[in-house]
This record gives sequence, structure tokens and C-alpha cells, in this order.
Amino acid sequence: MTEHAPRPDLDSVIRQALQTPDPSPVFVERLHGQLVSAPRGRRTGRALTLWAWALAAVVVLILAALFVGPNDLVAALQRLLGYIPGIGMVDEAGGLRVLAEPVSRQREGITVTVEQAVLDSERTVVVYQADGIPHTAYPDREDSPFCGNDPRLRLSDGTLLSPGEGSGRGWGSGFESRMVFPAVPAGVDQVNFILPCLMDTAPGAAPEDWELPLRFVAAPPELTVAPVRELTPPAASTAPAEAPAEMGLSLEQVIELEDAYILMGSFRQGDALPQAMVMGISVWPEITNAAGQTWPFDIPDDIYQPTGEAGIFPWAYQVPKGFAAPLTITLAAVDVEFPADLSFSFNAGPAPQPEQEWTLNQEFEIAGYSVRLISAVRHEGPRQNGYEFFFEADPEVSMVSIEDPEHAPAGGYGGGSLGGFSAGFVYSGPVPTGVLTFHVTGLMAQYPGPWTLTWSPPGEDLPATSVAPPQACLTLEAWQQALTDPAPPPEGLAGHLIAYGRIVEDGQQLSPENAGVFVFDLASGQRLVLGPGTWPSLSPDGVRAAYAGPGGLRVVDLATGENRPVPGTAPNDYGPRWSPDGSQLAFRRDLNLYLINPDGTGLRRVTAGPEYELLVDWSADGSQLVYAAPGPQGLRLRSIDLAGGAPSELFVIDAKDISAALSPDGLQIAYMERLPGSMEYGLFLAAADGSQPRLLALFGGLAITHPVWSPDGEWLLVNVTNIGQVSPATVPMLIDPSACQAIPLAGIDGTVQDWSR
Amino acid sequence: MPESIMTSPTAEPEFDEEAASLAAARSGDPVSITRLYQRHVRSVYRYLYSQVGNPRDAEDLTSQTFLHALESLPRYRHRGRFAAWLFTIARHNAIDHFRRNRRQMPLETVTAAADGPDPAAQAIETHERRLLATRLQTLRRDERELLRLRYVAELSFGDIANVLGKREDAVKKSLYRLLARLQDEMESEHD
Repeated sequence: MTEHAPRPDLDSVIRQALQTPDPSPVFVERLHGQLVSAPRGRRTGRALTLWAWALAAVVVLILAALFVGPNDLVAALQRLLGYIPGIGMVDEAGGLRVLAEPVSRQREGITVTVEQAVLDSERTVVVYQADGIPHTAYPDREDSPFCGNDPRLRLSDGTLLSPGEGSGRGWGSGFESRMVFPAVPAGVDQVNFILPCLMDTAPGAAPEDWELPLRFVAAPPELTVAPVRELTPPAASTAPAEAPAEMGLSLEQVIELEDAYILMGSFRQGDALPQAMVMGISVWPEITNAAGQTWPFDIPDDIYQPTGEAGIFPWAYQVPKGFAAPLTITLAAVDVEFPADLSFSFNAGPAPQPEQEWTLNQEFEIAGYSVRLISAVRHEGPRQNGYEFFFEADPEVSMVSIEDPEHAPAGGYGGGSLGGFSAGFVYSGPVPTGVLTFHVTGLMAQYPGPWTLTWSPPGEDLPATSVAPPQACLTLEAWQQALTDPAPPPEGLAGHLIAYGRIVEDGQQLSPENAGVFVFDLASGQRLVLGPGTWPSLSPDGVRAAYAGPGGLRVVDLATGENRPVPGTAPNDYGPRWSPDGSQLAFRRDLNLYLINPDGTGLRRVTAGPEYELLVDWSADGSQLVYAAPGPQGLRLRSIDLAGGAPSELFVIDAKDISAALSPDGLQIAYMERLPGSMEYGLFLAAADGSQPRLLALFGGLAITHPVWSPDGEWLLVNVTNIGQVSPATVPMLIDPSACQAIPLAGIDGTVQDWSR
Repeated sequence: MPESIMTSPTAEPEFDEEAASLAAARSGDPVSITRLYQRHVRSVYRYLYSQVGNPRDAEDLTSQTFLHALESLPRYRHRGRFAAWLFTIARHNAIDHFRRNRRQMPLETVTAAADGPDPAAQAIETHERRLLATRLQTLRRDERELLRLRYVAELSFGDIANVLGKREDAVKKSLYRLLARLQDEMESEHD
């Protein structure tokens, strides 16, 4: 075959033939929220196979209704469906089987254990764990292949069962997975668990082809299966007066566990808004107890409810017991897409220039919402060759859908926030010119509730013994009030902050192109830009800064401005922290912690654990490093003596990422941790050994990161980011822990990461 | 705001902003996670949509890809090809999806069996585009994957090579050969 160059326009023809739509902004925002706020270690269910499971459940229900009659269906349901924490839904009708005993295999220091299995007539749930995997088993280059093979169950006749869904969590040296396989036939009580390789490891880097024999026995009577109770009729929400009555929340099933309830239901559009479609729930609901106090909830990761029918969105929330009933679930808004059928035109002229802008100022009304088309901009480049339109709209509106019916764009894009957004087209060939007409086909808006649903556990219609929910000394309301009416910074507040943030005023959103490291003088408000980089730290005497910059670590003499690389450091070294006497830097390289002198001498490795180690700080006397390593229960906080010896375990923080700081005297630690039974993270202050924790701040959907102490230990500074926004803004906040006072620090425009004299 | 800028006396190597974002994202910095997400979410979604042909599964697989990536970040060591790593995860997820659902939607008929209006078909107005669309349906799986990674995911040759576990020059050669073959076939049909 000849290898002549293909026709130049073939590229564009192929692009058009392969063109695919962009994701919906609602999905993009929702996933973004999930990524930045949800606890880590969750894997989404896999929809299609779960559809099969859901379908099977429906078939069972229909058959049950046929045989027992609708009046007895509730009782039948209670007999059929149950729930086992960590396993999920089980069908008890045909009897349950379980793993006779856990089975382990150890090879080359790595242990694989099948911990649990539950079998019903529909499926087989297997929970297994692998631990002790050295970091060298994971690919050190992203271009290397890695293991993505799921385990199988092999029956004695050679049949292989593949998993249909799963969930799991990982830590530095291992992972745990819950895999759901098809049913193992009745009468087959022995299978082999086949694990071709350990998840994410490089081929050949860790033992492969694991095989563990599993033996199943009838479930013992003491196996606790929580019944799934149907509510008939379902508990329905009350809707605001102006919203359609048939639209709202319903609570359909309740599972009672020893220490919690799982509430399962759906949001239904009903026949409301016939021309429009509810696309999803805009914001997390709020759950409150009888006293109106926020009650924590979590989303069980072993229950998956597919969104099958248009306009119906299932949900499941797990709430800890101990609340004063009734419990109220409040949903503030849902996303609704309204159809539109109108056009707009503009004259791009015969030869529109790159970045040329046209002021359009055209107004529309769609489904009662006002939309203004502000301008159009011509972009050039392989991924943005076309036009982008900028809109302003009522504050509920998140986007409009537009089409170019006369041309065939290769793709489209859009984004922004409520009330202000853009949408654009990319053309693979020449960009259309002259008078152009575009069609507006839809509008997405937050349709306001609130919908509120109340529920009391059986026999608890009156307020029961109540356990007070965790109360933070600083709440979201207090923070919002502090932002609205900020108190002046305390008198005498002094020292230097070092931050990662905007260093180039280019009018653009914060991005790697305009961000870097700078020092902020609290007394004068002066900023000193150090350059592109991240992970900054200040020497305790405030004379020098260190950060991870291009090519490796860098040290800056703040008096002279001399900015020099630390010899012997590499591009992926980061997180430098000055020792209390300013003579050394501790930093991260690959997975472990190292020390180096600022002049590049004295490089030595301090830790060698297989897990990913996260540096917290030096001890106050400089003799130890405090760091965190991920483990099955959360982050294990440890200290290691620099003179030698094994690390000491301090306490476990229920978080995936470390955000912690030791007070200058070493007696207290401030850290972010997940609230028990909740998805929310709060800022805690505790003694250095983790005792006497106190919930200092709980800000709902806002993220609190990078606590740092003032040099005198009187103030705590954290960074508050509104992660509900696609382009989140960060505001540093001063906290007086003793007075429970929050003061926003204006004008910094970055994430503060250290504070010195 | 008063501001001064310090310059470095030494020559600055190019700043690897993706490495900086990854380093910060590993420790849960929401701004950095957002930055990486914004940069890649659309191309990952489009790539997965081109595999499965419907938004429901594309959204599900996109979610799995990013959640897996975030979960695996502590084990990821950056050497300059984050996009390739991310698309490797996306590709694994797509392969898993088809393996689990092969009864519902065989890989060979994915594009043709897309739910709802076929976005490619909407765009193909000319005879030439129709010819090409027909040709694309007849390509081998690996050939279609190559086109998807290049024209839907818009990956560089280096990143494609990493995703597919091949050498960069071999990828280039394969793509050019494939394009030349498509061109020849289309021209012969014209004749």
C-alpha cells in the first residue's frame, strides 16, 4: 500500500462523520460536585447490568402480585427483599448462602482475602481485599499498561461468571472491592475465585493469576438481614403553593439498621410541566430533625438505583438514628429543561478575524425566563474554530441550547454558571461568514421548590430521645454573615502569608497559566510574586520561602529576591516544609518523605513505607516529622523520629486527603475529617494525640482546606472554597478558636499555605 | 494592589503546570481537581459517547473514569502524559462495559445501534460523508479506536501511543495508512 499523504480535507470529513455531542452542563456540574465533595473511595455502580437486576426485581414483584394479590404484596415484599450492609439488597425467597469462612492467599508479601460472600437466587456478592502491594508494583509511567481485569468465579464445570457491577475503595497499599456476579446455581457449593491480576498494577510487577477456593454454606440463622419495608402509600412531599402538586419527593422504602435508617424514594415530575422535562436534582437535599437542626446523611454505596424512567429520579439516604422525629427532607430545586423555538442572527461579515467580537444585545423570553444574548466572539484554533455566544439570563437559568441548522458544526460546547454562560460551535472546515442564523431549541433552569417530606420511624411519632447532632462553633450561616458584613482584620495582625494563586492579571479565570506563588504582607497588603510553582512554605523567621517550581524545589531569599533552585531536587519533588530552625527542608518525592538542606546538601530519605505519605509538619522541636499514610480506615497519622527508628502511630483521621496543621507549640492539631455518618467534612481542633476533638467549622458544601497557624498560635487560617461553582473562588478565613470568630481576609486571591513572622 | 515581581537569576525550565495541578489535586485541592476535570471532561465524554452511542452510558462511564482516576491519583506518578493515563482508564471502562453487556449491545453494532438520533448521521449530508460513514462501520475495531482517539478524543500521537501501548511512530504510520486506504476506497467508489 502506498503511504501517500491523505487528502487535506479528509481530516475534517472524518471529524464530521465521528462527531459526538458534548455532555450536558447539568451532568458536568453534577459530576464536578461529586468529585470535589464526595468522600473518596467510591466507585459508581455500573448501570446496564444493574438495570438487569432492577428488571429482575420488577419481574419478581409482578409475579408476587399475581400470585399473592396486591393486598398481600407488602407482606410478600417484606419476605422477599432484605438488605445486608456492605452487601446490598438480597432476595431471601430462595434462601441465602454465605461463604463458609474467609479465604486468604499470600504471595511475595501481598495478601488477597475473600472476606465475605452472600448468594441468593439472583446474584452472588463477593467482597475481597488485597493489601501489602508495594508501590513499585504500580506503573511508574502513565504510558505503561496496568491491570483492569475484574475477577471471575469459575464453577467446577468450567463456567466463568463475570461481575456485573461493583464498588470499592482503595488506599496506598491495597484496595477492597465488592463485586456482584450472576447467581451461582443452587447445589453448586464450591467455586474458585480467579483474580487475573491486582487492580491497577503493572503487568508482571506483582503476583498474578490468583486462585482462591470458595466454599458456600447455608446462611446461619444469626445472619442479620434487614427487611426492606414498603410504605403504602408512599410518603409524599408538600410542594410550594406555586409548584404543581403532582411534582415532588416520595419516600417509598425504609430499611432499619442497628444504628441507622436507609430511606429510599424518588423525585417525580408527574404530569407537571408537560412541555418540559426534569433533568435531575440541582442540589443536595437538607435533612433536619424535629428541632430544625441539620441531621447528617450518607449515600449507601451498596444500593444502586438506576434512573430508568424519564422524569423520575430515585434516591437513597442513610441517616443515623438518634434524631428527634419527625425527620424532614427538603429539596430546594430541580433542573428542568424547557423547549424553545426561536432564532437569532448576526452579521459576521465577509472575513471575521480571530477574537473579533460583536455586541449583539438581543433579548428573548423562554418559558417565562429572560435571556439576553450579549455578544459573539470568533475563535480560531483546532479545538475552538468557530463562534462563541455569551448570554446573561435570569439567575435560575443555567444554559440555552442552540443549533446551527445551516452549517454542520463539528462540535459544540458551553458552560458557565447560573445567570451567565456561553455556548459555541466548532467547525472543521472554513468558519461560516456573512449573516448567520442560529436556532435556540431549549433552556435549562433551576426550578425552585422547596419540596419537603417528613417521616417518623414507626412508633416514634412523638419526639424520641434525641442525640444532639454535632454542632460546629462556626457554621455556614456564620461564614456567609462574615462575608456579607466582614469584621476588620484584628489589630496588630502581622507577618507574611505565602499562597498559591493568581500571579498574572489577565482577566481570565484562575488557571495554571496565570497562577503561581506569592507572598502577602499582612501589615502592608503588599504582594510579592515569586513565580510559577506551587506548594509554598515560609521559613519560621520569615526570611526565606521554598516552593515546588519548574525543575524542582526552589528557595527564595525574600530580602534580596534571590530565587535559586535547590540542587539535587527534581521536577516532581514538592511540598517543602521548613524545619523550625530553618536549616532543612522536608519534602515529598514519589511516595516518601525526604530531607535536604536549602543548598542542596544533606539529601536523605526519611520514610520508606509502601503507601503514599503525606507530610503534615515538623514537630515543634524539629526532631520528628508528622505525616499521614492512607489505610483501610482512613489516614493514619504518624510521627517519625529523624534520629532513626520506626514510625509511631498517632491517630486515624477519617479522610482521604490530609488537610492538617500542628500548632506552633505542638500541642494542638487542626484537621479536616469526615463527620461520622455524614458526607460532610468539618474542621476539627484536637490535642496532638487526637484526643478531645472539637468541631470548629462545618460549612456544608464549601470546602475548607490547608489550615495554617499564626506564628503565635493565636489564630488559625483556613481557605474556604465554594466548590459548588465550576470555577470556584477561594477566600482565606481567619479563625479565633477561643472566641469562635471568623474573619474573611480580602484581597489575597489565592490559597494560603503558610504563615510566618 | 501594590505588587512587585522577583525574577530568577537562573534560566527557567518550562513550568509543568499539569504536574503542579496533579500534585495539588492529590491532596484534595478542589481548585486543582476542578482544573484537571474541566480540561478533560468533555473529551472523555465525547470519546466514551463515540464508543457507546448514548448519553446515559456515556455519562455513567465518564463518572466511573473520573472517580477511578481520582481514587488512583495517590498511586499515579506523573511523567507528562496525564491525558493518556486518563484515556487508558476510560478505554478500560468502555471495554468492561461491552464485556458485561455484550448481549445487549455488541461492539460491532454500537455506532449503528445508538439510542436516539445518530449524531453522525445528522451531520452527514453529502454523498461523500455518507460513503465515509459506511466505510467507518466496516473498519476493524482497532482501526475505529485509532480514529476515535485521534478525532474524537483529540489526543496527540504520543498520547495515543501510550493509550494503545504502541510506539508513537507506529501509531502515526497506522493512522496515515488507514487514512490513505479510506481515501483510496472512497475515490474508487466515486469512480
